[in-house]
Amino acid sequence: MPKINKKIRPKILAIDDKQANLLALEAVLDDFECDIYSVTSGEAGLQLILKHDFALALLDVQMPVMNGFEVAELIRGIKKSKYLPVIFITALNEKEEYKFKGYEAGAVDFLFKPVDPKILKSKVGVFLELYKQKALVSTRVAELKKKVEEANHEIDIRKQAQTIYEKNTHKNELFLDTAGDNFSEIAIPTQMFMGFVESIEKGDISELEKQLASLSALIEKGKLLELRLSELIKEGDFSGTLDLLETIKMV
Amino acid sequence: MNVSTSGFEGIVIGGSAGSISPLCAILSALPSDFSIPIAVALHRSSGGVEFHKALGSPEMALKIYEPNDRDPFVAGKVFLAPADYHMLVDKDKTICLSTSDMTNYARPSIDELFETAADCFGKKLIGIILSGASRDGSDGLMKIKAKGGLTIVQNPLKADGETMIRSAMETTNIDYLYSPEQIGRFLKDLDKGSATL
Repeated sequence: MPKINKKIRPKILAIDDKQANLLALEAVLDDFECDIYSVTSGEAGLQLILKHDFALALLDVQMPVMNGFEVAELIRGIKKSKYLPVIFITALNEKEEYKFKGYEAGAVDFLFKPVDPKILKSKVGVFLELYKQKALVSTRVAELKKKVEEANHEIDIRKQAQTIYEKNTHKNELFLDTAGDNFSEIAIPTQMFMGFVESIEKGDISELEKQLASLSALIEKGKLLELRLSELIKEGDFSGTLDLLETIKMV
Repeated sequence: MNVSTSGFEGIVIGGSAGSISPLCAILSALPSDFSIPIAVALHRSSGGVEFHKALGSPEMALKIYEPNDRDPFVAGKVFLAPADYHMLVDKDKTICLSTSDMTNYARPSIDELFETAADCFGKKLIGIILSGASRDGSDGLMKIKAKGGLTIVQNPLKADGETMIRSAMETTNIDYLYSPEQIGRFLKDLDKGSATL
């Protein structure tokens, strides 16, 4: 039994003005895992073509109103079905095939009545396999396109991360460079605090009164310094480095 | 103003050589209370007697009307582009007439009508291409489709001029390929809410 990828269930369009012929076609093609859309006029078939994506069209040549060649000519003229493979089914002789002028686009084949089921299956099988391969290639191309887009997106994110890293590295270096220079600015209030403690220990009231005047300002600046440092550690962002240095200077 | 239950707010029809007969066939199918406004751009020489005779047929419930600039685009009559004028649909749903340069060697240009109508109505527009010998209308129909509108072409096998239709079929994924009589019935049913899209 012919096998078709289950994920890709092809559709076959069969057009024949005689319902009995359509039933016979459906019976022969029953082995294929595909959906068969059968209609008895070219007009109805064309409306289906505009709505669905078919893998193959089986067209009876001798039909009233619009014959198989005319239907195929319109199929070739419609953007979405320009390359749809067509199998003509005809009771006429092989010269009939020269009446069709749409060979330059999609594949074309002929079957002659009475239709041999083995030949029909063989030809349909080939076109369905081609359709399956084409669909797989399309799916693969779409997957690859998606992967390329994802890879490009990741590259963009990495570039952004690199820019942020370089920016912060520069800030860190600036912080370390200037922090060394300003270490003495931190040391001064520390020394003042130590002197204050020593005065308490000694019980030197006159010295304490002198130092008390600068105590409240020292506490305020110390709280600010603590807050800035904690923010800096928490966010890992040194964007406030320069402000911090200014604070240290003021303290 | 009546609003069609179909959800469509405009129909634009374009044609050239051999389009009068299919246009008459379409319009003859529509009743006087047809509620979707219709605008038609046909390539024609000014004031042809045969032209007006054909379009003045008593079989047509909707009357042909050559609009003035800034007329509101409403249902109840068929707006036909006057000879030698581009007919456009403005965003405020009024008709604009223009004598600007020819487009696709034509004035009125089908593309001009279709593209401005597509900007105005988006997916609530139906574009129809009839018989003709040029490629005018293909870009306009493509724009209608791109905006989500419905696209119909006359069956080229039965048309006097196939070029315009085949050009549209090649460039746009059309929704329906019908004979003029089928187009008329389809529009009538669509307006009554009995057509299946």
